[in-house]
Amino acid sequence: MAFLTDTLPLRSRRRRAESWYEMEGGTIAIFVIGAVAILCVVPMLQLLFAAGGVLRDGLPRAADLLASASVLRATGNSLLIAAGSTVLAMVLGVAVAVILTCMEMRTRRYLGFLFVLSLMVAPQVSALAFKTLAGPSSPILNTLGLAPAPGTPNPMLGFGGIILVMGLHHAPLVALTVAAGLSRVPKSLVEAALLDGAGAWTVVTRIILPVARLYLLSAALLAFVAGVGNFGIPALLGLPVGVTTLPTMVYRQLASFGRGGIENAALVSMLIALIAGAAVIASAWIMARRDVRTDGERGLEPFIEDLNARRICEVALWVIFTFAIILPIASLLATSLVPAYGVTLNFETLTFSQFTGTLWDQALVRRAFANSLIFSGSAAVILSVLALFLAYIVDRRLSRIRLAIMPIVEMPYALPGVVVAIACILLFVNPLPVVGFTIYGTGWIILFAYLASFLAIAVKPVMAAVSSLERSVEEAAILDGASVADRLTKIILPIVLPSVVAGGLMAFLIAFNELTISALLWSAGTETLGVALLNLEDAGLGTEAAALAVVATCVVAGLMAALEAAHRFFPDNALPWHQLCPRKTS
Amino acid sequence: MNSLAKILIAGASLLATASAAFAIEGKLTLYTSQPNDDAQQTVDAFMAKYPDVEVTFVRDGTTKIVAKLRAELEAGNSPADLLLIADSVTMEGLAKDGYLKAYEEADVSDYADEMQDPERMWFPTKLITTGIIYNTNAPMKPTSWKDLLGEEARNQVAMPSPLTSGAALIHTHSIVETLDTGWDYYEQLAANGAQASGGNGGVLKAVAGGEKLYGMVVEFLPIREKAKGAPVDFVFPEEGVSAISEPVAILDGTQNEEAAQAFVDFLLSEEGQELAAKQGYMPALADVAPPEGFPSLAEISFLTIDPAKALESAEADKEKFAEIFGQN
Repeated sequence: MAFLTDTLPLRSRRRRAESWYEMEGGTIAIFVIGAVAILCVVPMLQLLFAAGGVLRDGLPRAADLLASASVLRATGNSLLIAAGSTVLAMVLGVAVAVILTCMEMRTRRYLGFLFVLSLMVAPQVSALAFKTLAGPSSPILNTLGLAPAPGTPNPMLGFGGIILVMGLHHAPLVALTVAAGLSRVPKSLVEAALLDGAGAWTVVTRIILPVARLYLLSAALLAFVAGVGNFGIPALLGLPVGVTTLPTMVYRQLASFGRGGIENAALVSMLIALIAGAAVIASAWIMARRDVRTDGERGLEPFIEDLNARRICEVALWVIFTFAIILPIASLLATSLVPAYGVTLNFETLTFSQFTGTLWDQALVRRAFANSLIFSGSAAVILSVLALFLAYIVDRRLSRIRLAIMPIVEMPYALPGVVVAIACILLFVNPLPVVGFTIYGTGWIILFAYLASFLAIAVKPVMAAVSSLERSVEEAAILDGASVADRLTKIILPIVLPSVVAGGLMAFLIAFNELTISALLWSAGTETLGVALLNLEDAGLGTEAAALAVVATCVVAGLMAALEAAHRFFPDNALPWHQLCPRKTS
Repeated sequence: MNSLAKILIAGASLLATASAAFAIEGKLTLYTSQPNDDAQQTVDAFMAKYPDVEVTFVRDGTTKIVAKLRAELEAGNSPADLLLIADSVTMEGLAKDGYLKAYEEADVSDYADEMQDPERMWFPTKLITTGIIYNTNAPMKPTSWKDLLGEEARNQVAMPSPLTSGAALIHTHSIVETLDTGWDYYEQLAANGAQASGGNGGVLKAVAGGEKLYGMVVEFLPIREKAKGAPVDFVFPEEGVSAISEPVAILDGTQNEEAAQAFVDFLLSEEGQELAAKQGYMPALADVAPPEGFPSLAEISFLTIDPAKALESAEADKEKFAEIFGQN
């Protein structure tokens, strides 16, 4: 029995030194396991029960629902959009990852930053930006005289637009995953090929990509899951023309029919979970089979020296990013500077009133800012603490069940937000047993969903930092009689603090931009920025919506810039855009 | 009980009423389908008059906000005290299910009888009509509902869906009941490529942004945006327009009835009606002049319907509409 070791004084000191590592911190372990169970396991079980209930009550009814024209159509649309956007995201993402990893260019860091920024910008903001860019009233196209004629439908509305915007939005996700794989390609392999006289193209296509193929597959699956679960883009570009995907269909049904449809929504969200889950499991299986690089070998570093090739690629990337990222945001800005939607921007119509008055006068907008800050801020703080405990305990005491606990932690993040949100509604819609009250309809339910969804984000960097800690310092402290709490606060925390902060900030950024969860869980007074944007759009206040999107984008860009300015304090690769651009060491 | 005690009790209760009227305070939650900025102005004006009352409002399309409200009422924990939505038919439905509280003492003597609920469950606050919006770059200036069926309007018409918008539900019912073409009109619209989804805001954006050239929409949106410079105009079609009264009602479960009644009084007062006119709405009180850009009430012809019948057929109307326009 593990806990008996302390009562056996005859054991050698060496033996003790090994055992403390796995035996202590029982209270923390119980706390961590409890938190993971409540946040990650209970909601999913609740969802399973609800869906199971529908199946038990009437298999024919459930079959009717799942085979109904609207569900079939939404499923087909979801699969088509996810697949299409994955293809686009793969093409662009892999190209960017390869170029940024293999070539040292002057503006490499800016390119990486910009690319990751486009991922961090909320998807609904991206959708809005592209919509304002492409339509007949496009401020930028009108200035250039290239705008479509009045009466032309906005090309961004419908399948093509959704696939395009989603593909561009998920391309950085692909690039980040692929870059992680590329960094594991042994440098020696590339050097050997170059010595043999292989050209850069051959090295990339015949050596690097084949070696990183599992990461490519995993990136594709990731983009697919993100596409199935995305809500903001099809909500803005699909719903106005009647194109529904599974998440937007669930949203529309819940929004229009209230809680009456919750059981059907549970069943449909199980369908979403099934599609996304299959891809997640496939991806996990693939990654478990990856070849691990041996310790002695160094990873891939920029190796393409040809100046012409570097210049061409650099210019090409800037051109693509201008069209895919800069122009849409500029068009959003232009739309926010006119007095009414549809007015052409020029010196006479230019107004800052949306920013100076209109937006701020609205309690909804002020409240949305405060709520988004409070919800994502508290989630980030709580998650940072939880992540520290979780990483420490999983590394120490629970190392044997690590393989079981980590997938549980990652599950809510991997599943689409609509699934998590519905699980939370089911969990809290009735008063809790024993205590007799409910957090349904309050801000707490949104916070709960954020904690469940984003724990995986916060814990990732901390896990990496804790597992690379030397044991010797702690062992010395133990000999001096330091308790677990002492060691955690005085030794571990100071060393891993940057990782804890980095994880917390990433969780904050993602929660701050979130829409899917809050779109289903908001109620009086708990609107988030995402909900406010959707609401302004819906009320026809196009210029106000654009202004809000501009402000939210500035907040995200500002935070990322602050992180970049402080990057020295963070561990290597804690900032995603740095993962894209590995430094040359020799 | 002796008479002295009776007098004392009567006096005490009189005092209680008087002081309650005096000290109107506390919190109010308003569920509304008004656009955000109007709801904000209304709430701000009320709070300026009653500084001790703090009003929070929640906005969404009529259908959505009522779905939310009903879900909360069934769960027994809605924060809502007041409801201000597009149409009286939805209000009738809520009143029938016992969710509304009558306010019999409300002063509606200056309002037209035919707009009123005899049971005083809800009160009209404005007159909102649905007509035709068009982009000023469009080749045709529509004057009749039938113009939206022509070749020039092919694939160019946007309209709100009754599945989302309360005004659109009444509008659909009005068109079907009063135009001699009935549902055939909507079938022809669908065949002509008309797009129906979302609320009135989406229609405004589509037409102002030039993605569609024509649309059915509530009048105040285009009239207001036109004044701000947007390339849109509004017409009252010759057959007439449908109308809703944007009623306000007090919810049965309100925690603060005095303040809720004060809010209703404020909307019905001349001051409240003038605010509505200033916001660009046709006031429900005939004495208050309509805002610029509106014809006088007498010049508008209405497609008049029977509200009871409208309530009866509301669900069937939604289904029929969804079937014609291929929505779920």
